[in-house]
Amino acid sequence: MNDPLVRVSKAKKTFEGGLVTALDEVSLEIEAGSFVAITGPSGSGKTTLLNIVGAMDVPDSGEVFIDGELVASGKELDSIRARKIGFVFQMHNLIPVLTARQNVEIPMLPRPLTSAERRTRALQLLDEVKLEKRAESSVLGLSGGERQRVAIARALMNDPELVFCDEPTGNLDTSTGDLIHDLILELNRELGTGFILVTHDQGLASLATRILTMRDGRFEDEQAPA
Amino acid sequence: MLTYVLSQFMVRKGRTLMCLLGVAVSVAMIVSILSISRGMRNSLNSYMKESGASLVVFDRSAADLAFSKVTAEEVDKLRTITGVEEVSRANFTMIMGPRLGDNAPAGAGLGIIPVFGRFYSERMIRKYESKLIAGRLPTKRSELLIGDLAAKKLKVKVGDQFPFFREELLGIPQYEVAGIFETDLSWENLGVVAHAEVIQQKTGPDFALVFVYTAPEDTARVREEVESKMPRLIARRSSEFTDRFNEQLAYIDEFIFLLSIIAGIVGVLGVLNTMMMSVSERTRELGTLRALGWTGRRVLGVIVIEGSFISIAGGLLGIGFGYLGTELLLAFFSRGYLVASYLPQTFLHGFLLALIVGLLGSLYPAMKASALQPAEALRYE
Ligand SMILES: Nc1ncnc2c1ncn2[C@@H]1O[C@H](COP(=O)(O)OP(=O)(O)O)[C@@H](O)[C@H]1O
Ligand SMILES: [Mg+2]
Repeated sequence: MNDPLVRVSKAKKTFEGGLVTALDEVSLEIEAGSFVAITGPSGSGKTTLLNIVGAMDVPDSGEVFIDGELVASGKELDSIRARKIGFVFQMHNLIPVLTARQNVEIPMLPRPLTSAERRTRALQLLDEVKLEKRAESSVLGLSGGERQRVAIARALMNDPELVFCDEPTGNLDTSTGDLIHDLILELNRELGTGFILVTHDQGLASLATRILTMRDGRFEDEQAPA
Repeated sequence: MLTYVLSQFMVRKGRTLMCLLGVAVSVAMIVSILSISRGMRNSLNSYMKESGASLVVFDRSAADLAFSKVTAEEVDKLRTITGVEEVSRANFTMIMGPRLGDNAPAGAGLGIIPVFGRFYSERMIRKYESKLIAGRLPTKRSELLIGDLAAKKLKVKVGDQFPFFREELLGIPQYEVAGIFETDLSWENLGVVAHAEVIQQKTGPDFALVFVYTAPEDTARVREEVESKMPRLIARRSSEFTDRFNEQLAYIDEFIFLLSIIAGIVGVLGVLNTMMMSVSERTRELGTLRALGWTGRRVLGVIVIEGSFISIAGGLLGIGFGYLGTELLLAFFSRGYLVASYLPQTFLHGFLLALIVGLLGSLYPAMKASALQPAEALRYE
């Protein structure tokens, strides 16, 4: 039996000097390549959970292991993120002025690669997200859905084990959002990359391997997909 | 990486440009002042060297040659030192063009004219022999040698007679232009050589400096002997005249150093302000970069590189501005009195100033940026 990719045990996170409990002793295991949907009302701790599982932040108490590595303060969290994790945000957070390809290359800039190698990888990923034709367009000229697809390609640039998508369709209309969801599903199946997706879309959630619903910093009973 | 850095300038074109120009102006000012100070120093050196004298003797305590006094007795004593072949006494005054008064030739220019007093029988006057473009060397006290720029300004030519000094010094009502010379030094060309006894009527019996001629092998010994026999005086090789005119030059250098610091502080504040604004506007973006695996150190590096880029570009532009500005100043405002020399060190000084400004100005914003918590930065609206 393989160890799970992510193991969280009794992670707790509070803010405002302990007044706000964003995560209340949450435990969780995620297998490599799985597709986990997280739902729950605003303020229930979804983003905080992603931050902790994604090595963006450390819990006040409890433990987080990613691929066997303990995530704790004082460790090279940047490096864990760079090697294992990708992020897609609600806002695309792309860098204006740069082209789609240049944006996709950003996570790879710290690596000792030639620009040709980076370019090849970026174009390959833009192809995956079906944006190869817009590779050299400034992101300012792309639609919301296209920008989010660039962001997904960017998240995949370092070939992560797990990609965290925090309400990636929150700013898109339903039909565009559906296309993004389809794309994520497809990438999960094709590339075997794990995805953890925060979404309010019940339809999509039902396609996931697991659905977790959060309330007040805890999971409600885990539902098996229908 | 470079593409990313450059993209930041595209996003904030106006502000980047303002900051860059700020640094450029600071650097231009320093480059200009340095070039002029080096130019004046070099021209003074070559003026002394052109005298052909081995040594230049002057008053040790004088802050400026204008205040130097060497007495007639001291000159006599100089002559007695073995190895001294010849001495030439020099004094100096400046007159205002308007002193020409009502008797001035029509349209004669205004402004300051340096007047170099020489004895026409002494060796120093001979240096002008090869510089004459018209006429001959003067022989009588009522004769003048005029620089070509001064001749143009005064609108006189060889053979002209005019009341050069308003006072009828030594009872000479009219002075005659014996010759017109041209040297490489514009301020010398703007000047007039008059008989030292005429200048003495205005400045008193003392001389400003004495040119001493020796055989080359005697120079060092004569120099020591002058200074030990007459501690009040200082003797310098004419070729290194200003190198050794320590006090005054140290003062100028200190002044330039101080100006560099002020220009530097102005530049640092400009870069600091620009980069602080850039970092705070970019909080989300920096959080994103961190989420994507960039280290805090890389973010620090990027901000420092951005600040230094602006500053170095400003520095290079400033060096160009400094050069052009100085040339404009010399061409239109200095009327020939200022001289500039453009030394590689001067440009290096400007460049280093810009580099230091860039590093210092961006360090604090860069530290701020790298200390951002990525999760917090991404929550930032
Ligand atoms: N950095 C922070 N500082 C203060 N409070 C925070 C911070 N991050 C999250 N919170 C609080 O923690 C709770 C959970 O937030 P979050 O994880 O963003 O919820 P969700 O993503 O489900 O909307 C909220 O009450 C939020 O205000
Ligand atoms: Mg959230």
